[in-house]
Amino acid sequence: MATATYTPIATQTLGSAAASITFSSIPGTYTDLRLVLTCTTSAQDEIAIQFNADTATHYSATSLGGTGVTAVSSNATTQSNIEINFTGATNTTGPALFTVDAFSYAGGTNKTVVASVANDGNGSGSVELTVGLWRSTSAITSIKVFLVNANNFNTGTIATIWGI
Amino acid sequence: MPISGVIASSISGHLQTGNFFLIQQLSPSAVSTVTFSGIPATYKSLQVRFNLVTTSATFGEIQFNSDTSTANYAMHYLSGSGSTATAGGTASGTNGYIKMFQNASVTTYPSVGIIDVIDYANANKNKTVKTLVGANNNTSTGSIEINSGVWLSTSAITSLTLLVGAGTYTGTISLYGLS
Repeated sequence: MATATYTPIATQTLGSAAASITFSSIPGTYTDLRLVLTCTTSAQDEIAIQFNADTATHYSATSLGGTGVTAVSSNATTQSNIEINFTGATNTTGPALFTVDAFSYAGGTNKTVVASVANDGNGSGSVELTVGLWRSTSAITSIKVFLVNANNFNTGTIATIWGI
Repeated sequence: MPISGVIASSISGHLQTGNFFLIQQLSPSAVSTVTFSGIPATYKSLQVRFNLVTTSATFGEIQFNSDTSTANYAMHYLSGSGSTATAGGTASGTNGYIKMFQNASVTTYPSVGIIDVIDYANANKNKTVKTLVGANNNTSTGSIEINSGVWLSTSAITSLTLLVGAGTYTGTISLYGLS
């Protein structure tokens, strides 16, 4: 009999503004992880992720984005995080939706993730896809989501991590 | 334990948890093709998720029900290489498969992806596929793509084969059913 999966591991709903959201002690019992973030921010900013509190330059990413005018692709190597919205920026009032899929997160290969962004500011915004690499064979046990330019996530921001 | 009634708003079709089932998981090692066969018709959609390291910079392919006819497959892609965004496609008569990534993948670091097959058991319509795939190896070029494909057949999908254009791959491929 097939096994039911796609299970919420943890959810954080911000009761006050915060600079980052961290999920720690992620169990290694799933195949993949999906992070879902719905947020507004104190100022327009870019969102990034780090794994296992690793702040070294072990990350890289390639993105594909549309701004409403043009489609662009960007690349970043040897970074200290994976930025998941190269093309656009977060909104202060209109919620943006971010998803990050981490594959075989508990396995012994390097870790590749795919992120998507849906962000519409009624006249501005972006839609984006990003592939990111964390050059580490360690199992992912924690994920930190933060704003690159040190702004805050607003109250009411919701982040959930799912196990698949 | 899955919690019924909690809506995962980012999942295709706004699934509820408890409706996503692992049908089979494979761990291929140094192979060029794997097949999920005997797929039950009891779900609404299928999803394949993969994490694969390839031995060659190549592309991936999908076939259904062992059908290799070029008359029966077509696809479109939107891709980013790190410097350029491109779009294109191939009509039927070109390939006997749907490419699941158009740009070359990379060795050493895993290529990953999610393949959604909608209404796979419906015997009254052709079958539509969406793939989201990516690869990055910390160089100036990577690959992030979203692709659509169609299998021009009204047969229910009972088997699904994943191939690479050259070399072999190793990793994890999981087939899920969405009810």
